[in-house]
Amino acid sequence: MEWLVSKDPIIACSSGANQNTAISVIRISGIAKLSDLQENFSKDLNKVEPRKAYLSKIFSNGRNLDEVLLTYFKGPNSFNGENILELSVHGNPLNIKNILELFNSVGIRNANPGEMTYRALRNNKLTMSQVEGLDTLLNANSTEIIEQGLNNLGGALQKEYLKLRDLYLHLRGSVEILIDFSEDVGEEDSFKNLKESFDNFFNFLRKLELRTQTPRNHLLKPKVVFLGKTNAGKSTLFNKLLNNDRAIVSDTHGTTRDYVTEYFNASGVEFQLVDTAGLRKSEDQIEIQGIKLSKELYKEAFFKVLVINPLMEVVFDSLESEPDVVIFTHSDDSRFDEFLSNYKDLYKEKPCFYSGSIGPDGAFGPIGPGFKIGPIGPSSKNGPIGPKSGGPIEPLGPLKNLIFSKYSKLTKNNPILPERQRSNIKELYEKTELLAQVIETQSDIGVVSSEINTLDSSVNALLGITTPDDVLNNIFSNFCIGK
Amino acid sequence: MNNFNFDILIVGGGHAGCEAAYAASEFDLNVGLVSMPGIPLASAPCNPAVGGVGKGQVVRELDALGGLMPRLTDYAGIQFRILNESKGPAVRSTRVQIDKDKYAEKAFEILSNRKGLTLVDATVVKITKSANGYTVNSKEGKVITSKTLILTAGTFLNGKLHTGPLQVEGGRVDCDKSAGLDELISSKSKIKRFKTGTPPRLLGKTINFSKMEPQPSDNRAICFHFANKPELRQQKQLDCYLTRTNSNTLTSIRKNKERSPIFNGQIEGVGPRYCPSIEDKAFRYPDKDSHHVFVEPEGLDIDTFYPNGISTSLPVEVQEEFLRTIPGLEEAKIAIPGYAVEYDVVDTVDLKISLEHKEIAGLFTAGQLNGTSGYEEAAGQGFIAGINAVYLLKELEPFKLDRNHSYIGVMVEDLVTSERDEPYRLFTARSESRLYNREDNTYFRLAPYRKSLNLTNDIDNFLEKYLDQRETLVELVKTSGFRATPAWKQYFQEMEYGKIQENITLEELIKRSHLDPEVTLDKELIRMGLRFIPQVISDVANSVKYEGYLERAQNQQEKLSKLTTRKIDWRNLSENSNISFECRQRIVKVQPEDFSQLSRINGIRPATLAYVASNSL
Repeated sequence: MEWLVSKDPIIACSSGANQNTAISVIRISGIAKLSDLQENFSKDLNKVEPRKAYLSKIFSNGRNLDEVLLTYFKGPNSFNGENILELSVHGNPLNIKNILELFNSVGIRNANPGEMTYRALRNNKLTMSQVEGLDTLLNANSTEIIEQGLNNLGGALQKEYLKLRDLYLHLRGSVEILIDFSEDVGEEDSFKNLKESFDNFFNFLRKLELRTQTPRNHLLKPKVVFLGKTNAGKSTLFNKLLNNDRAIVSDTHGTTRDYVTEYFNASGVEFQLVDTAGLRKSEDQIEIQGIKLSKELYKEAFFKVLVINPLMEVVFDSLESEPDVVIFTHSDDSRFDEFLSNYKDLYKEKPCFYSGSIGPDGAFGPIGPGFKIGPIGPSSKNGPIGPKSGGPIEPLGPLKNLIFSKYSKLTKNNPILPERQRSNIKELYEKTELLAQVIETQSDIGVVSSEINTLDSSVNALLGITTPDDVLNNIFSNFCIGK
Repeated sequence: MNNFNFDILIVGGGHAGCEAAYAASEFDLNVGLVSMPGIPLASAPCNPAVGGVGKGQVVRELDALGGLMPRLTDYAGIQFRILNESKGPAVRSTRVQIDKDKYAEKAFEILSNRKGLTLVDATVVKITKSANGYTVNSKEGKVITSKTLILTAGTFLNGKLHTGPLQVEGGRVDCDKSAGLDELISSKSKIKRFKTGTPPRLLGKTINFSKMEPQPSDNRAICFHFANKPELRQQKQLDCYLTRTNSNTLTSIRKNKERSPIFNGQIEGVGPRYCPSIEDKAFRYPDKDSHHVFVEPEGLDIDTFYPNGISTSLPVEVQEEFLRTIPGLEEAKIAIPGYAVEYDVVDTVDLKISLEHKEIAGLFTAGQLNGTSGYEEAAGQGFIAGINAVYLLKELEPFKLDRNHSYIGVMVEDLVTSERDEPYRLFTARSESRLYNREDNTYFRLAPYRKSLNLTNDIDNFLEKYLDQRETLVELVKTSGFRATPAWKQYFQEMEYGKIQENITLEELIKRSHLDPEVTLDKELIRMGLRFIPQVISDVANSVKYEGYLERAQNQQEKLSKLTTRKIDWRNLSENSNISFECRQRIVKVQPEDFSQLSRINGIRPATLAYVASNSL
């Protein structure tokens, strides 16, 4: 971890370097004097003014390597506080490789992952939560999350943590009043004051804690998982949603032994769609493994779709997590209503959809709302009225809407917290729950106060007041941005 | 005799000065104490009480270190109280109302008979520093030279008194101010101006005590000096009385706002927020219309009472007016009006941990002059300055108390490492180790420090005995216990100790949450027919009780100390453009050496801490 204290000049390609693009951006950070690099540029670097773009050739041993646009950011007025030279080069991976190697040969090493941003933190250009905001921003998959990343980058989370710290200091103050000033303030008022301060702190913390309940990856890479018995029609639905024949679809039970993932876009958010191996009793080791995996995927999914063919043998093994939506297939079968009644009680509270006969060439019936609000729209059981496979599938709209609305509800109420803060908040919350009991039961105020004081490091850690070791272990390990 | 020559000269005979003189004269050096003629030594110009939350700990620490204040307090004590009794031993403190005349008489008796100490009555008009030390000239024409100087001038440095529009120069009522002392210091460092105040003194025979709630002396409260016993109080005990202000009181104050020197701009000095005048209370908390007033006797043969809680600098007629609204004080006559005093203080970040000035070699300052408030704080610093003046002459490393082991250590470190915007008072909150820095284990905490002075006195014999007995008792509670036999089950039931399912040790018994550890251990020792020093019993009982919590706190502390003990280079920080200008100024001023000192600087922003934390790799 020597690089954490290093002030060497470093170089990295800040845009994707593995594809051919028109332009890629290479950054050199921490150069002492711009003119030290003169040998490699045609432009007279002494004439370069900060924050202006200049055209220049890059030379390697006198040979012209590339023609680039260079911009100089003089520290501390740069992204990370150091002198930064930014080169817009032609985005051919080989070209980028050559340029990086050229600067390596003059003593500028490649940056470690996160090092450029780490230096911004080190130079107080970004706070910890801003850095983490940047992480969120760069890994975002939706406009909502990009917005959150920007908010964090602007210090929105930091403000909340400052508020939390204020409430914490208030809490500590109220204990001190009880100890040192109860003669002046009165015993009863002092105890009331302590109780109130604790409630204020705990309530605010509880709001933060709520945000930690949705795992981060849920929102950054939300998975929509289909689960059902073999041959219930999961893969078909999957294909309809994706509008291609990605999963193998056949009449034979157990076609999808492994899981299949694809991405689809709903209202600007990218979701990962996962088709799983169907559930059934099997002797086949590979299939058993597949089934186990299916259940795990389902359990961890952001959005759980249960696919049921009511005509097949009934009862499902109990599932650990409730589905978000249930889709009943084969609604065009004449026995559909009769068989469906077996499920009525089970999924009374869930949004349900019916879908027509499923098969390789089968048509897809419109999806209607479930029991709860009763079917509306054209009845689906009198034969397929939806478009044939291959065409755009409008009837899937309601399903997509459900998925998106769950997503936007979660992102609105639970902005994404970076991992370090997530674990800090969880730890703080658990300690505070214990503290609540101590305050309730303990009459020794010395002990109460001592217990309150043990929260100090957790509260401060949220603000980034913590040992560098802890900081580094916690964030830069998860951290892969701004190469 | 008009010429004197000392190794150590103390200027100022208040609580800091007396304690410094007493401490320094324990070594075979020539010590002098000069104080203003006509003012008793160790007098109590403000409230007639010693001790209190946090302060009681300081007085006990002084006792363990061999100090003076505990002896004087026990001697002059006329009402003893245990504060925070129900809130646990860690925050429990002793406070003693004193007869202020007897207190001063005893101080004079002890100090005037002290070997190696000379008392000089003189008003100092000039102090000059020479190559070999200091020369002090007095109004009376005395010339005193000394190798080192301890300045404990209290509020006398350019003191100015305010009662309504009346302004008088002086350190307190009827006393001159000290002139000419400030040049010495102001040439080297900044002088700040603070303010404090005191309530009117009331004539006892004009107070109707039947309308107030009496608060009797508590005969269980342990004395401050190890050799004194609570059952043998040295003075007759008196009651204090509790009454309250009401909306009428506050109305009469509020309508006179423009006549208050604090609010009309007449007083510029900064007063303590923790000890507000009644005007402060009236204007800062407009919603509150009742405050406690403790009416405290100033002595057995003195007919004045100190109404604690209504310190004021309003004009006398307004003081009379609002007093009439308070139950029991309707007829009260004012003996001495309340007043505020403004005075100069030394900026203590210019001092070393020994309380010696960084720029002026051989000059120590202690007490209110250092911007603290309280007799106990003054005495604590006086002791430290006294010992360190000795150590300077003996060329020893400074005598320093660790802040984790004592409140005096907390105070001295706080003073020299962080800039103060208001008078400094000790609160238990200032200690990171409150569970450990208790009254009951004071002798155990301070014994190693006293031992390091290499003296042989009655306290040293006591401490030796104390530590022996403590070791024995700790061993005893960990090894002796009870078997789960029918007889012991019966006994447990009788004593209401709870159930006994399997064999338990005495330690496990006293840790039971429904039992008072001190009482339980005491009972058991009586049953076993064992005698220990009472302080040892309390110490061991509470130490056992707190063991687990202390461990947790210790772990937390260790976790923190990874960060807090990290050395920082303040010079680097002071030039770092990533830190705000204001924070850098404060850093330069205080010159913090590690992270914990940095974090204690007033007004340091979280952003700066976060920045330094992540950079002090």
